[in-house]
Amino acid sequence: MIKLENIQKVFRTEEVETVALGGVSLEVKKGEFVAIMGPSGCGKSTLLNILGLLDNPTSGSYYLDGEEVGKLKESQRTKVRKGQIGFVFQSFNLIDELNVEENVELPLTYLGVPKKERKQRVEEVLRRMAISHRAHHFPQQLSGGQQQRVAIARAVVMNPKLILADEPTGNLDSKNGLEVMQLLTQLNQEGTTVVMVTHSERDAGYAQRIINLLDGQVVPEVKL
Amino acid sequence: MNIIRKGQGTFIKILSLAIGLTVGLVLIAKVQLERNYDCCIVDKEHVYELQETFQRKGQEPQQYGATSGGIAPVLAREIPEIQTATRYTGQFSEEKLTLENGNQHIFEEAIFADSCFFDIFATHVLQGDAKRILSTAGQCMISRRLSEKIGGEVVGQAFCFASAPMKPMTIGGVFDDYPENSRCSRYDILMSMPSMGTYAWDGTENLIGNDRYHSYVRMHPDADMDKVGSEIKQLLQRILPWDDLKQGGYTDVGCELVSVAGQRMKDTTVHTTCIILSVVAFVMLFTAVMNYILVVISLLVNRARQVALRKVLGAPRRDIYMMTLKEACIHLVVALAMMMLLLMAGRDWISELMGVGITTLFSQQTFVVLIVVCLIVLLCCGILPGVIYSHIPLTYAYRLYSENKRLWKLSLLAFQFVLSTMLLCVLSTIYRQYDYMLSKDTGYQYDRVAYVNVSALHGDSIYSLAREIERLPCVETTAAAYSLFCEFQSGDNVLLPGNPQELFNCANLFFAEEGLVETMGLEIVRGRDFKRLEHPGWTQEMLVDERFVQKMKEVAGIDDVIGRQFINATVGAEYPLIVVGVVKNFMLGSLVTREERPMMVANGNVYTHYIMIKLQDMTSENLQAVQQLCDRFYPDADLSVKPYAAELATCYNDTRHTRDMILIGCLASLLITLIGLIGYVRDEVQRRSRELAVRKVMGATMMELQALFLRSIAFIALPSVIIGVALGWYFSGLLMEQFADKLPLLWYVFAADAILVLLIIGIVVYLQTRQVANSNPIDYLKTE
Repeated sequence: MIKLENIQKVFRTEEVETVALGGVSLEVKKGEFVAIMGPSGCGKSTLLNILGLLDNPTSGSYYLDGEEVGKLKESQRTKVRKGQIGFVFQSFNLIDELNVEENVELPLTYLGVPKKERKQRVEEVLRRMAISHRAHHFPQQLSGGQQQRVAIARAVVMNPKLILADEPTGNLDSKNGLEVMQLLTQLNQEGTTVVMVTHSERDAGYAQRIINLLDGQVVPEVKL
Repeated sequence: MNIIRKGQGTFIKILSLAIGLTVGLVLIAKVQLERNYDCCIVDKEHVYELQETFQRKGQEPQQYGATSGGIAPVLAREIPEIQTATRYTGQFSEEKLTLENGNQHIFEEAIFADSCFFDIFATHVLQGDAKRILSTAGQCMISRRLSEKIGGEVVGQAFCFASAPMKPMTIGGVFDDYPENSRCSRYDILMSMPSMGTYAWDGTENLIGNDRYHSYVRMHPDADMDKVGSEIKQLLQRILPWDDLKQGGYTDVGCELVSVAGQRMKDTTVHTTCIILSVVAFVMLFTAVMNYILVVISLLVNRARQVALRKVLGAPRRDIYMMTLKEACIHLVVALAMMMLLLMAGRDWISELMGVGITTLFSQQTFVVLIVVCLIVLLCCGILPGVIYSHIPLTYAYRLYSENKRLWKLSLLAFQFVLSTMLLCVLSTIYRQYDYMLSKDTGYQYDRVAYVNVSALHGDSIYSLAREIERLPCVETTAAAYSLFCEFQSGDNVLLPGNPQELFNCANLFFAEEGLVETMGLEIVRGRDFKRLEHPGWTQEMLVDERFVQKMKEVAGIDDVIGRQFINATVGAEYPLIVVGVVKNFMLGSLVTREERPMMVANGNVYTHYIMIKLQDMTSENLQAVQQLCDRFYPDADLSVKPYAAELATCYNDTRHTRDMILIGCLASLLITLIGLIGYVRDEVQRRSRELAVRKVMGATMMELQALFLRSIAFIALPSVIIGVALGWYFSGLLMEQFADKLPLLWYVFAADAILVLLIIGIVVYLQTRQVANSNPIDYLKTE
């Protein structure tokens, strides 16, 4: 599903040039659950952003379902991203002005799904995430675990092929963290490919494969 | 407190204030000058202008803003309640005087004034005994500015007017210039009343006829005006030649006392203009203050912690107020300095627009009002932010200020949208009206007509010059004429031969020669044109217009005027004029000073002031060719060839000035509003950057993100613009009241204004949000 060939990402400012990724090559197969690990500043989030088409690599090739997507323009990236990739962030990134239902509905709106269907799918996913009773609450009225469940609901409501999770349990206590990991595992078992960035060995334990990054390079894979 | 720290929006705040203050204060000063008009009149509350009233048999009573020369002195002698009286009348305007040493100077106006002139119209007499000078024939007083132009010791010097070259006048004294906001502001030369006979027919003591004198009386403070009114009536009954008047067809003649206090503001045009200018000034100042507060609120995020910390450290609420007040004070001072620079840079233009100089606009007369306005602005800019800051909770000393105050900001923006839309609507109305006035069918063709003022030449010279001009290949026709159609026309009564009854009053164009009809593109509907005069002189042929024919039918029952003789009261019964032709009605005066009286003009090429010239094409080369010919023939006469259209346009200068003032107000208001809008959107983009990034990650396109902002602005902009259009409609109606001939208010023009404002708002929002909508979402998510 995902194939990266010699991906490089260099951040340039007026004075400094920082190599975030220095020739990363990897593959993620359909239905896999992969964890990306490494110390802070090793390029984990940069890699995830490139995988999620939020950013373009400086050089190298990125194939998503066999199509080269590494050199697309922003508008083209948006088109590819829509409906295919779901995101789960460490800080949830829910929109404060929208309630739970509206937050979850958002990706469907941008996909142009009819209102009736949207409502149905939102209800269904909220039920699945056991957060239906909070449908009309605003993010500030929820606990961290509930917020992350909403964020996952938002990520999966459009049935994406790929879920990218950036430290999904980073802001949660152990109980809520466990729940979130169980949810991601469940989604993976249902066929969704999951790529997760994490610092946590315990969370990485849920993945089928761990990719270790160090100074922007992939260190040899470890089969679990 | 750091006034110039980056990120405080200081420049935007000061710029908005400076623009608002510049336009607002100039307009308020102008209105104040109008309110304070004629401040030179001593004891204004008790000074009255005398206005002649009369009624002809079978006609409506009429009132005229002048009297015969003898009325004011007689009233002063006979009515004990009258403390003093004066009268004056204009004679020369904007021409040259030549001193004995040959030096020439242009002056504005020369009038005949009697010895009591300074008793009513007070100013400092700098040199000479005014009473004695104005009582002595051949003596005059001149203004300080003219005296400075002449230079040196002016008293005792003699000069001649260009249009009266052989009649010297001696300067006896100098008076200080009158304020620009007074009816005397243009008077440069006050000629003694006994000099009248030297320059014109002497009617200084007339009780009827020759009613060209502006007469004023000052009443005793305890005078009972009803009693004075009846005393005047009784006096006039006693002294006027009633038998002659009745024979002349008059059933009543009287004299009305019109108070000069507030007289200016009773003028519909002045009154309406003042209201409109006050509204524009208010809009400007209000918008500027709103914008100031908008920026303050937008920057709360940056300053909340600092203010909360001050409060934690023990700053009382008073100190917070003082802090904002001090800031506002410094901003205001800088804005005023910026305003001074703007005023200095545009002083000539502002003076032309306002009709008064910058020094008069910002003088003692307006000082207090302007200071009060500045104080109000200071209090608004200082107190309101103080109120907001003083309510910041102490806890914000430790965490990020998150209240967006969006409602406040949108409310302030809404006000700005309302006011800008309103001004744009008023502007479009006055623009249309001005264009309408300029393009209105006058009944004559003037596109290719130029004219030259030949007042300084004798009749023979005028005739020769007209013929020479006619020979130029670029000239089609010429005609010497006494007056321009767009000028105010003198009036004369018409009589039938052998009958002393004055039938009606006509706009008298006095003389014009054959060629006028063709040059001005008039249409003869009956009879014929004048016969061409081959020599300087005049004949008894007369052209009249259709109104004359109509009036003659109504008043004297005469159906056919062609070939009939009529008496022009000025020309006299010994020279009856014969109507040879009737021209189709055309516009005399302008749409502002429209002349409704019938018209008459006799055939003559002497006693004329202008040569009208129809060019093959109105080009600068052709104008130049005529100008060169005039200069070659009369190099000392300073003849100036001008397009007639330009002269007609000057009739609408007041409208143009009003239009330009509203234009400035509207542009400045829009500019301030856009500054506010840009600030608001920038602030919102910053505040919602994470949300935008999330939406983008969720698949929102650039257009969808921009639509978010457009929708939120449209929510406030749409109702605001509708209210603005409604207010614009109301004020446009008010503005149009001053025009007798006006365009109707058209709904689609207002709709176009509304669309334009919405479009501008939309474009600003689109451009402001373009960057963030285009940017990489992770840049904004990272900040979290």
